[in-house]
Amino acid sequence: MDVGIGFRAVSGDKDDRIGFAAAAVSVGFDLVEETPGVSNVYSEENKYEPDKPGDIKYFLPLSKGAIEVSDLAKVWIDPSAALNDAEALPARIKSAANAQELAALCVEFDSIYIKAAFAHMRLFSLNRIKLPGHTSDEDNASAYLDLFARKLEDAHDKTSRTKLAKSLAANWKPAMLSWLRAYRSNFLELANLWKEVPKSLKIKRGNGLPPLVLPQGPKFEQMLKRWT
Amino acid sequence: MDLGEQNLNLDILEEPEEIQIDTQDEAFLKSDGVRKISFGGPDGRDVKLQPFNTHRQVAAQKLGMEFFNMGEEALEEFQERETYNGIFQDAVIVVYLCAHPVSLAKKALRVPAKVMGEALNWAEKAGVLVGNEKHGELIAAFGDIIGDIIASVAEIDQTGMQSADESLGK
Repeated sequence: MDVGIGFRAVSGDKDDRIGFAAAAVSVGFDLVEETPGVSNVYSEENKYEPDKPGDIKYFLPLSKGAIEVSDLAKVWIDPSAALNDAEALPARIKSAANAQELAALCVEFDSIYIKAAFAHMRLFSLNRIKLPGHTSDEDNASAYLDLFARKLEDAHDKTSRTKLAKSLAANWKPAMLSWLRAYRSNFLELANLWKEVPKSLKIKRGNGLPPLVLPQGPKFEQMLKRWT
Repeated sequence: MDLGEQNLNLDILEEPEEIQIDTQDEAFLKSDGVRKISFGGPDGRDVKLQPFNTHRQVAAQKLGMEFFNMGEEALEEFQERETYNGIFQDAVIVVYLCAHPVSLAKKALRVPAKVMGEALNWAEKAGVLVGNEKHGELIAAFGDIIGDIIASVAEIDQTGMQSADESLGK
């Protein structure tokens, strides 16, 4: 089952909505094949006017692996909890007292990592994080953290866990920057789709009738006047 | 690095301020001789132009205002012919910033591309097209504002403290 991310699903800001979809795509969610991408929906009550943005929809799967899109929405609304969970990671790795605690950390790690990346994307979208120039450290760090949970499984003694906690701390910031670059690229791509909005319109007709889709063509203006 | 410290994540900046009109703007709006344009306000009505103050000047530069990059010859040409290459864009930038609270200038420093897009949409919605009446009004308002800047740097020049060219970044 898929979910349509609506303007009001997260907030009333169009850029915010594109940002959410871009962040979800960045962490591995694929837009569903039949996603309209951008579709303006007008009706008798909500008529088309020049430059009126109308509506926009991105269909996302409800989950990707262990990540629920609803959890990401919570992070988008309040990124601080995800950041706090991440901040606690090195200390938790160092202080894991037994195999059970270590196993729990291994299971949780990927979720904490992805949610922290999502929280960073959210704060970046609010212009609260500066993105410096790209360095190769970012690519290496990202690759390292992608496999971190496996490394953690084998860290049975305190020395190896301390070493892992240190390398986690060293790789974390560059990896987050790498996520932000992916986010920025996806955001621009989706924002470009938005610019194409006026080229096709979907008009709700009600009374059980299917929506009318008007692609841009020679009779676009004529059809627009007739149906709006 | 102490792993117990709260510094794993990237540095997070403070949340931006709420939108508000500053006292300088309020004083300007209440004073006599306020500049106005007949379009671009709420519901397309007229709007009072607020001072092209430091915030707005810096924001205009961030939005790519050509005037600040003009060479000496171009500046002379502007003073003679009252136009230069890029004047339309500059006029949209400056008048849009002056037609809105100073918080917009602050926003322009954070998200220049977005504000530039908003400025163009604003001009488009107001129906400003090269050669029409609104275009003339926009350029006139811009000329007034820029005229003040040129006059003020010229005054400084007469005291021998700073030349207009130096003031314009050369």
